[in-house]
Amino acid sequence: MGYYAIIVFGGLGLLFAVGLAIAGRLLRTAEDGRKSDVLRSLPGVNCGACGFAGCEGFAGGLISGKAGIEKCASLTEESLKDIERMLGLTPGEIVRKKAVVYCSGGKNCSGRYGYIGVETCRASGQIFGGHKKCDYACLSFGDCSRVCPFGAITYKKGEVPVVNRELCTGCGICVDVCPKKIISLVEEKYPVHIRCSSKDNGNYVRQVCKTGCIACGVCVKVCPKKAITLKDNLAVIDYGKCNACGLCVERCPANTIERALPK
Amino acid sequence: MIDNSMTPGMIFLSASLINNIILMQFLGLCSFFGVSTNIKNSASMGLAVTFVAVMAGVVSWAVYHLVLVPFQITFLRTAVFVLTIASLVQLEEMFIKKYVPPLYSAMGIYLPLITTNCAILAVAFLNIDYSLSLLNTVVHSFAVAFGYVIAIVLFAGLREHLVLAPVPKSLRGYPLAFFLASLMSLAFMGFKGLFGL
Repeated sequence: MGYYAIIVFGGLGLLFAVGLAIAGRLLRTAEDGRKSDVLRSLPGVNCGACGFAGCEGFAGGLISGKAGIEKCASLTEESLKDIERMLGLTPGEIVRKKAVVYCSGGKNCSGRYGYIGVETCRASGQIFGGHKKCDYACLSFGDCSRVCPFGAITYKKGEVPVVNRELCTGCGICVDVCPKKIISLVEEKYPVHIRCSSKDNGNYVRQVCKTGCIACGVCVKVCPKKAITLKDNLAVIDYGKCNACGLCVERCPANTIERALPK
Repeated sequence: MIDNSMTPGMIFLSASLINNIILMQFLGLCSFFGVSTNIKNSASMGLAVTFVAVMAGVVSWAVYHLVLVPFQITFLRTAVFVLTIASLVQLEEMFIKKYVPPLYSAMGIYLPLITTNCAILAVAFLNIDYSLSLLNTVVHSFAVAFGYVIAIVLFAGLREHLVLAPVPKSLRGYPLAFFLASLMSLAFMGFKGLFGL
């Protein structure tokens, strides 16, 4: 009886296999061979920055013309060229963006209350807008760091996370997850950033934070390109006009303005 | 309990409503929650499940009665049924890919996942456990799948409305879907005892 079991089970398996092989022949579909090639050239991290469900969906979108290649945030130069060749596109430039955290507070920013609880920015942010006195402050629990699929954000507890501009691809997941919404994507070529988001008046900012923008206007005066303006108690930089001379970085009394390193 | 003494109509009623596979027997829940975000996708999933369930019911019935019983190896039925269903789903996938490509892309990952849909395996087992005739097997398999379609389409309709409702943040998405499913299950318990079934 034991033999029967093996033979019959094996036989059934063989029968189905043969049946499927024949059916596979009969029902074969002509698949667009480019899809797998394109998919191989894509980063394969499924970050979702393109708006499709993963890289496979994006590859399908590229081939059917529903998506533009520039939607992919984390494409390398070589893969870009490969894909453009495969799809017969005219070579173009990708505007690369990097995440910038518009807060330089961290330990320089004083606390509103002692927070004991789940150590995520989201949890803290739900209690009176977070444990910092400044309503625009980074809560420094590193939600952005944990969510980054490229490991580009590092943080130490209590300090503002640091974005590694080599690894950051500009997918924007951290922008979405930050409960204080103080992360933005900025084109890679602009290195000087005013790292404060506070719209509180200068007097209050000076009380709660050592590195917050107090809207003193020194940078506005010093900028040779007139790229900086004061708006809602905050110095705002017009990236299009900035020539990265760095005068504002040197003169800012609160050291709010920083030049992204190393470039 | 369903058996051969019941008319096909009674079997249908019992299997689709009174012993609804999802809401009363709690089988096939993964696809029930996974593919129920809009009515269109859930209906196509229901279609695929119906197709596979009837085919799997008939083929596994035939395999059981024509192969396993004569060779006295009915103890192998779990393995054999899994094998049968897996092959059938492969076949269906090829078929749909060839003839209904939009349906294929709409169902995506859930089509191959029918392989492991416990509702399908349950249909195959129940047909044997109730020792149904071939005709009743077809009716019963279809009825179970129809019950699946009823449940998932109703559920998807409700979930479509929930997207717009001002739901507390902590309940948004799956948590509320679980509550909803349990309430639907309670409602379906009202069918219990209908016509003495």
